[in-house]
Amino acid sequence: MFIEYIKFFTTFAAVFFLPGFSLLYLFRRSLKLTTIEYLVLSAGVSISVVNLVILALNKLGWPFTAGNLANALFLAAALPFVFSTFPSWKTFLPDKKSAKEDDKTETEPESTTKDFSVIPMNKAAFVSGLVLLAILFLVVTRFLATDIVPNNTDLGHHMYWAEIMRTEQKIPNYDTDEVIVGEHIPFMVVAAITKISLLSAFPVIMLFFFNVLGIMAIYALALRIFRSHFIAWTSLAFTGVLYAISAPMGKFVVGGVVGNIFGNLFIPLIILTFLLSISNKKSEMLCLSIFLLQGIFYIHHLSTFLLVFIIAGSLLIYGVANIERKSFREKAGNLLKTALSPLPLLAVALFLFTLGYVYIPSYISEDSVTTVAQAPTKDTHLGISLNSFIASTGDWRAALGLMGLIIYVYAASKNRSFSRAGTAAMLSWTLVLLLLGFYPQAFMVDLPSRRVANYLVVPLSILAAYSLALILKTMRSGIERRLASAVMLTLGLSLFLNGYADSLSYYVPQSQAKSAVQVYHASAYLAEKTTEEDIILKDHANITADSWIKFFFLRGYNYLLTRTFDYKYLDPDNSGRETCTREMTIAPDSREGLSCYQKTKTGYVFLKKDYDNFLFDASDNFGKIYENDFIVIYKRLKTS
Amino acid sequence: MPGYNTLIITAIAVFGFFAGLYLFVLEKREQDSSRNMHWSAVYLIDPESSNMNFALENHEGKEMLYVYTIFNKDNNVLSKAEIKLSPGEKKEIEISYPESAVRVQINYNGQEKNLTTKNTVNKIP
Repeated sequence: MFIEYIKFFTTFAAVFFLPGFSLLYLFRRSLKLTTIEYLVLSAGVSISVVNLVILALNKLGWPFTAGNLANALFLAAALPFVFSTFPSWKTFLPDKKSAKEDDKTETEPESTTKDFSVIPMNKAAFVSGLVLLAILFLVVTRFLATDIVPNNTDLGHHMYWAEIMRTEQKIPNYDTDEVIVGEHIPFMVVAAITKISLLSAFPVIMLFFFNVLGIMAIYALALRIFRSHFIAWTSLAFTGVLYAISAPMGKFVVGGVVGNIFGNLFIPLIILTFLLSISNKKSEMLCLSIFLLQGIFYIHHLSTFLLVFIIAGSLLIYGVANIERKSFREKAGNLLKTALSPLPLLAVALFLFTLGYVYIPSYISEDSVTTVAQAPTKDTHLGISLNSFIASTGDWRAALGLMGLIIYVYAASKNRSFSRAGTAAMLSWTLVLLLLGFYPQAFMVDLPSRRVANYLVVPLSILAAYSLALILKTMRSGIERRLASAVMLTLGLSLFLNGYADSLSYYVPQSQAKSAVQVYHASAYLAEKTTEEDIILKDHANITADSWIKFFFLRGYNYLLTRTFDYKYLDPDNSGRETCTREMTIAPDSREGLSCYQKTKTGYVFLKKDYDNFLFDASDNFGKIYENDFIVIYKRLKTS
Repeated sequence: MPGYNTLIITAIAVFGFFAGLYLFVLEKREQDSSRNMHWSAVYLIDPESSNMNFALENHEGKEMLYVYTIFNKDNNVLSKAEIKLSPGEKKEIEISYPESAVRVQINYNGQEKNLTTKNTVNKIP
């Protein structure tokens, strides 16, 4: 058992760090990253490399066996290391001395560049960071422990696809555009190499690790923009410690909201590399930025879509902020020069080649694009209310974040020492998401507002940290020392209680393990006793872990008929929403119920015990073939 | 001595390792059927056939005594027997009245479970 765990940790480290690290190592002399930036960028680049390698294997028709996967990923990790030893590459790279000189001549006259330079961590910042990280791990691990047996809906959907990919040893034919291939590849790779079941704790543990890396990426970005360890660590505290459980953090980890977790890692990384490429005129950074964009493109459409808006907004704000400066033309020219240099062009070519010849994600279809690019119509797409946003973001974080935004805009417009590129990125990141979350009509896009607003948590946390730093600074210098200490203590306590109370509200009172294990048992039984021709109805409205039932069948994403929540059967537009799944569950012997059974040829019904099963017990048409303390399964006896 | 950045990364690796290990062990324990899970399962061995041979599984975490009663379509008792199962044990039971048995009732620890097949004249009480 212990060996299995060690296999998981070593595979995770090898697959999700080495390929990225080796690519970064190629450009080690020109990138000038901190160790923490190396860590988070290695993870992001590795995920992109892994997805690309698996898509290439699929294109070549090589099955995803453990051996093929391990060999291909080993090659992907080793080649850049080998390449970096070539004498021609060594001459291409600037040597250490000239790199330093180059850095000096490039950075000193340019204030924006100076703003992005790395500041060393001191002992106080280190100790604060260590304490915050310890609390983060304690709080989130404690939360995940209450619900560690897999049972959540989204996780069940994603692991179904990962399991299909693992068993078929190729990219499956996605018969839905709700999920994307890159959300499943990382889990399939680990499952195939380690032979650990996807129906275990490992997918949640992996998501937890990616979530922590995302939080560290936020720290790294905040440090580069604000050049303050206090603001950087406080940003981490606002995202991963005080509100560690609410969306899009711990709650998304245990829920298996895979795309968002990856999005929260990639968005700060892409903004970071993009900023560094603008400020340092580094084509390597722009190349990384494009490569990371390709990575998230194959993982999560919403994150990609929002990123495109954020980057476009950043360029617009950056352009407007510089338009009256004498150096505007020079800056625009530099940007263009960086963008048109070989490495970024190579990254774009790779992106287009992958899209054109290797794999097109299922969401890239005319229908999907048209569906998104239209005025929002659904209630849930018309923007969220301020009340609902504050409730989900946390009162203090929302208040401090919005205050931080106002102060930041004012301060940046007055203070010339502010980094224009950093300000443009922060403002675009926040304003684009605020507009898309609250007033999507402005962009004529049809997106779920609540999900968009979840992305706002990150820039608001950074701005809340900035706001808090300003408050503390003002108090320290402006008011009497003892009063300042009392106010700071009160503020700190209020923040802690608000954040911790928010986290506590998500703790499940009772573990779902017992119910989930019984669902697994019943599913395994029914999968063994039936064939693909049998039609099965399950009750999503009442059964815990019901999305995991299909994991045992592997007979198609939509193989099981599903009775859902009553409100989903409401059909105000008269669009012909099917109601058979509901009628067959709540009134199996009614005229409509019988007609539905005939029409759908449903042979088995999978229900929660003591919920809607009384009529099945009393019916002549059903026999009970399975019962445990949570699930009952009925077989239809008559065909008339 | 390594820099503070490196120490932070080491701390993340150590915290991550122990957090992951704890979650792995916990999940394994919670899925362990011989543990104190307090549930039992009964099911027909061959739901496609007309016989009522069934299986019993004990996931109660302790030895359990199961009493099973076989009924015919008129709700008369055909036979009654009991069986002891240790934690995690599974037992398949063959019914001696394959044609007339239509319902099996299993009682244990104050609980009742039923399996039914064919069309019953008298409904389950």
